[in-house]
Amino acid sequence: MPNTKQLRALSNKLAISIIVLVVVVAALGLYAYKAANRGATKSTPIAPTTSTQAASSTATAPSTSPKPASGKDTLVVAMGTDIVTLDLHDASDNPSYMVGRMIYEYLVDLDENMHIKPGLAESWEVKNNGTVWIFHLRKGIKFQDGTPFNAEAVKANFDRLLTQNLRRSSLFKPFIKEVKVLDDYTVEFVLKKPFGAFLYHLAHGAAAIMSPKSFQNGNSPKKNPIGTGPYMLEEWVPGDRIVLKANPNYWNKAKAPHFKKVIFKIVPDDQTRMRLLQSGDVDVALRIPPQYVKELNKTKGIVVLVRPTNRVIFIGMNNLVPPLNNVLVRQALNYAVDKEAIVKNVLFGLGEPADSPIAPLTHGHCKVGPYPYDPKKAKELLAKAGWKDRDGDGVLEDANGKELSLTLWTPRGRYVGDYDMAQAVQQYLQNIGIKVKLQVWEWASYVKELFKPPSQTKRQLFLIGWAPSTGDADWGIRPLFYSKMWAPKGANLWFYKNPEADKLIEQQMVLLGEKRMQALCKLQKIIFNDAPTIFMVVMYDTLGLKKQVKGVVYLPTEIVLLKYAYWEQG
Amino acid sequence: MAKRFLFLFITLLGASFIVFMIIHLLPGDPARILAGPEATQQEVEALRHRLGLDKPLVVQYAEFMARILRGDFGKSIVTGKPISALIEYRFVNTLKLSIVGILLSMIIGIPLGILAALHRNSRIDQLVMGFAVIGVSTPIFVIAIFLMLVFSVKLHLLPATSVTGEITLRHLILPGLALALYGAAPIARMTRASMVEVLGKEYIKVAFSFGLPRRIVIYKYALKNALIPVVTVTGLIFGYMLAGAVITETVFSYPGLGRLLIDAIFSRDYPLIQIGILFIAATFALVNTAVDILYMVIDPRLRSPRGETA
Repeated sequence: MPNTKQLRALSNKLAISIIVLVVVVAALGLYAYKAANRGATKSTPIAPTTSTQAASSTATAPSTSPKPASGKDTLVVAMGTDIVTLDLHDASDNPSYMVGRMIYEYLVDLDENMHIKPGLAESWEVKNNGTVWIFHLRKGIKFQDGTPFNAEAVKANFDRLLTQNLRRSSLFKPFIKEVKVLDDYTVEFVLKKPFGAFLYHLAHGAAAIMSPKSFQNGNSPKKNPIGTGPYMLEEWVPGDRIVLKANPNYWNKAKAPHFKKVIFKIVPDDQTRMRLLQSGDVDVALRIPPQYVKELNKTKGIVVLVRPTNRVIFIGMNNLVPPLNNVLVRQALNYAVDKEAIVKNVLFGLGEPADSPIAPLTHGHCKVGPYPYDPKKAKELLAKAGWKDRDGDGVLEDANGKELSLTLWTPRGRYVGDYDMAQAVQQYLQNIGIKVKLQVWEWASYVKELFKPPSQTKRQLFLIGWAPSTGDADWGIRPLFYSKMWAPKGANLWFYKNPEADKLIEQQMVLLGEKRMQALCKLQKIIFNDAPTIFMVVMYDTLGLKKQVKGVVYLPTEIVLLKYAYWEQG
Repeated sequence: MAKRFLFLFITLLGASFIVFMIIHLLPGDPARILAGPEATQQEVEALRHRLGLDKPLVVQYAEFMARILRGDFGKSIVTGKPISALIEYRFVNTLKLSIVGILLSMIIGIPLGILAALHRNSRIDQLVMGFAVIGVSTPIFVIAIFLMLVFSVKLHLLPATSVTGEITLRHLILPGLALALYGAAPIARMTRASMVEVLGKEYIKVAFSFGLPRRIVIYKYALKNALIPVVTVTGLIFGYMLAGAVITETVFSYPGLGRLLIDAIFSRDYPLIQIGILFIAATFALVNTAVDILYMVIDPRLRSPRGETA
């Protein structure tokens, strides 16, 4: 047996080696982290790149490309929020639509530029000045449970939406009078009034065509979603993952499902999501935080897609309470905020200033702005409204000496950079002499509060975003600016009311084609000038992919379409 | 020993009562709260009848306990799925993770503590204790991301998460290590303190003066006694890990109990919140009782009322 002296020496050596080990691991980690961020050099705004590693003189950043997560059999997608339900007639969240669009299909489809294309319907005609729409359906399609896809099935789906009180019934009930079966493959929609945005409603995630069997006789699409799409539901473990499997009988042979399985893994932590892409554990990662986009772009084998969405961020203003009930004040606030700077510094270039109440990719958009950054003009407008710095303390007061002080509400983590944008706005307003108090809200409580009626709310300024899920201007404007849509009935959270705007909103609903576009243009101009909100930015969305993943389509309605995705080795 | 079980029983009773009362203390109609904002009035009434919410509180509590003991945990408001299935999967995962975590904690913490004790007041002691302080004061979030960066992103040695939901040992190493680096610190400190105390005791000095080899004295006599308070600390830490290491679970997207509870809270899924809290409280209470009993088994002095209390 070794003697005490040797033992002591041994234990000393042990101690030292453990300490050294710890230090080495720590150094490794530090190096790893530094190397990962070394790619982040100057400016150049993000552009979709293929990621051939730029040879840099410094030590290489990620030296090994990620191992394929699963070969070509399984596509793994990391997303931040779980789905709510796969009964799309009853869903209003994007994750549900995104996964649902693998399982279900639609009469008409949207492409990347928000144009309507044939879907399950090959062609259609409009009659009677727009009150009658006749759709000719594709033949030879079966639902995943073997039920034939035909006019009866389409009618059953819309009858369900029209007669039951589902979450999305309001997208159809106000417009559709009835649905008729003309023959096996011809369906007629009779509308109450002509509706310019009708096709966009049919392309909406909620207009999924489900197998009638799946919602009749006590069956529920919540448990058993059955559509005509390339993938079917295998399992859903709430909070963890959704697993889809290929539909072997998919009707479109040219676009048969490429993967045996598609796994949607729920990864709530933003940073982890992109790390999983780097480590190779996932093939697609949704919504990369802007500050990591550069690093991810430089990772070998990974591509980052940046796409504009149709989401507009507003700083809402309570149009009913002074001083915000004065249009001069509201316009002043629009001039006071430098949206370009916010896009550059808060969003890392992932956005653009809003030039209309709706985004450029929303069907019907008309460029009527933006409000340039002009603090001098802002101060002038405020002075005209009676707000001047009368005592030289840097804060504006009215004729009675009352200070101009407002509260700004904001969520945190609901939208990319939401809290940071609110902080920036606070700073800009303080620069022109307005005292602003910032208050952060937890999302569910925030929504509840914002949908309270005028008599029950204390809101003044509040950050909120809106992305019309139909992709059409009607849904981007009417719920927000129509006077009959004041909260709690609609999303007119700022209690804006302008009879001229109301008239135009009602007009554009029943007009078609060029006449409708003209009315929409006039409407956007009026709203923009009335400035019921600060029109902040149009958001861009990001998507990280392994470079072998192809066929991914990004819709500006913040939907990532993966149904036709495939893997291209090498 | 009987006393311990009595305490356990009282604790469980108390926890279950508080959990039960949550629904009744919230503003609003308990049936509506449990059915969810989406349910129709019919469904709310049906639930009220099924759960007996119109009966006196005491009766309700009794029925609640009866249901719990039967394993009928009700349905989640948000997903409509039965809670028992949800909880089982998550609980087993948390169990696996906690076991790996606590084992690693002990493997790292105890030897370090011994080392520090043997070389107390030397450089080694300072280094070890410094490491302990770093381990406990570094936010676990940082440790977790760091491990992921090194072993998954850079070295591609270990998976950062399980995408198929199947949790094997490979999936447990990184999150387990994150928990362990956090838990090793108090274990190391306690081991050191306890060893130092024991090494100063009379009987140890006697053993040395008998000429027994140093190694035997340290590891056979001193350590065994020193480990007693370490067992307590380890038990507490194990309980903490079982309660759901939310941050670690979030970073590694690990499907455990902690994340389940947080998700339930954010989505106001009251039935799930109730059961989640109950599970965590019960587990913690059970682990503590087990530790107490273990303590008594190890230390004979505690078995009889006259014994010297440690």
